[in-house]
Amino acid sequence: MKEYNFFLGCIAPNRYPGIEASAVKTSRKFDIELRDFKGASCCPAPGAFGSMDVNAWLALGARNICLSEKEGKDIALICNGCYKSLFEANHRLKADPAMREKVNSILANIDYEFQGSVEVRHLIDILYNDVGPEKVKESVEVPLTGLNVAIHYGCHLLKPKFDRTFGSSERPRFFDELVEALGATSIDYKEKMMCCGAGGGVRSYKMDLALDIANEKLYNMNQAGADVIVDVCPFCHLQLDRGQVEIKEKFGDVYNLPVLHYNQLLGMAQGMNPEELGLDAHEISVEPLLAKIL
Amino acid sequence: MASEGMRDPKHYQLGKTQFDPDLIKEVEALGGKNAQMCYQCGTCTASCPMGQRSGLRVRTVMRKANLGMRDVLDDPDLWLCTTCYTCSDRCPRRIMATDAIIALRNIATREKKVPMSMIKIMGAISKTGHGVPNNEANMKNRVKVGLPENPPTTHTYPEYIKDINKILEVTGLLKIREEMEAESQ
Repeated sequence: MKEYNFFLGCIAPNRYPGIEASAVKTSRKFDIELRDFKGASCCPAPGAFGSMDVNAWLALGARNICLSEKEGKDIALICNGCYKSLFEANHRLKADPAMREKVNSILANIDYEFQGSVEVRHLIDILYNDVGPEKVKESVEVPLTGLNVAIHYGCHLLKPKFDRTFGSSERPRFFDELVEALGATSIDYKEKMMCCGAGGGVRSYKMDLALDIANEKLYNMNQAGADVIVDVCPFCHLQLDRGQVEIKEKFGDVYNLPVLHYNQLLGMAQGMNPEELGLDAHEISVEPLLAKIL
Repeated sequence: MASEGMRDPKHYQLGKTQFDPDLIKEVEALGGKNAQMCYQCGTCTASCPMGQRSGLRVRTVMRKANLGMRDVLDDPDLWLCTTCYTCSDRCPRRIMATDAIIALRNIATREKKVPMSMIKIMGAISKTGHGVPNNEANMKNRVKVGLPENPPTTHTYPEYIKDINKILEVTGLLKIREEMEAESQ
């Protein structure tokens, strides 16, 4: 069994608890235990907080990493925003002694010191590179045959590519393989790699423009015949799920496209019921989706 | 020599615009690596999902930063970048234009030109440890999926929040927030 400190971030535990619960439950099928990570905080939000002060952003991220270093546990997380904050802080502070010294001088005020002794992994990376699509496929009890999935990778999982380990950010495949391992079809759609529009603090600064980007994505997914949108980031998830309600109010466009985090889709394929995956807490009803696969 | 005074970049002015050659150095020091290498090809602007629907022009931001035109810090469109990093991944000069924009936002923050929406997020983190804190409806949803009402974060262990505020204090962010909140009232 491999144990990780489960870094929750904000949106998953505080808006979409089904994402948190499904990550824990589905991972157990692969002998991965996501344990409570005591005292963790917001990562903090990279676009919003990094925009105010990059050194404070790195120090607050490093505080979270230091807590895990004290317990000697690698960190697993399920949000692209958290991934940007913690993976980059970890990676940069390990690689750049001058930056590490600067951040440690901030952390000295709270008696913390960044050691560089743990890894930060996105769960989708663990599922693809450690577990592998074959084992994911073996865990399937209800194959999602005939389900058209519009995958949304999200930006900070892949970009900037020089600060990541996944290679090209233009045409990645690993997430598609993990969706197809469940029996579903990953459909191609126009501008598949485009941003959801929420990041950088824009959703709270100019919501109409943030939603205008989401609207274009949703239109393209809908045109391509998507049954469901699948993401690996609770903030993109919120933008694409709650965003549909806001888009309907502001622009009058209606899609009713259900939105699932990959952990929730995996849970459905592993035979878990929609309630324990928290699907009833979503803004856009998942009923049409359930009718299609159950 | 008199000519040296004229060449002092600090005094370089064209019309009403001040040019500050230290601006681009500051941008690079704050993470906008290789920003001086920009040759204005425009791949960034062409790749920008926000540029297609707003006044944000990444190439212009890069040009202004390189020329030292500090009025770029007053441009409300500077805050429209979603930090998607498409421009950075496609830049033929391997410039992190997104990080250059973030660096410019850092400088604007120090000058208290940061939008209040950002300050509010800092306020939430300062108070609860979370940028997006828990609420009652969500607590019920947590219990329904078999989770405790609050996650095992600063929500359950608020004693950790003082360390977060210490970091905000020593980096000067707490002061900026307090002053801007006072001014906005």
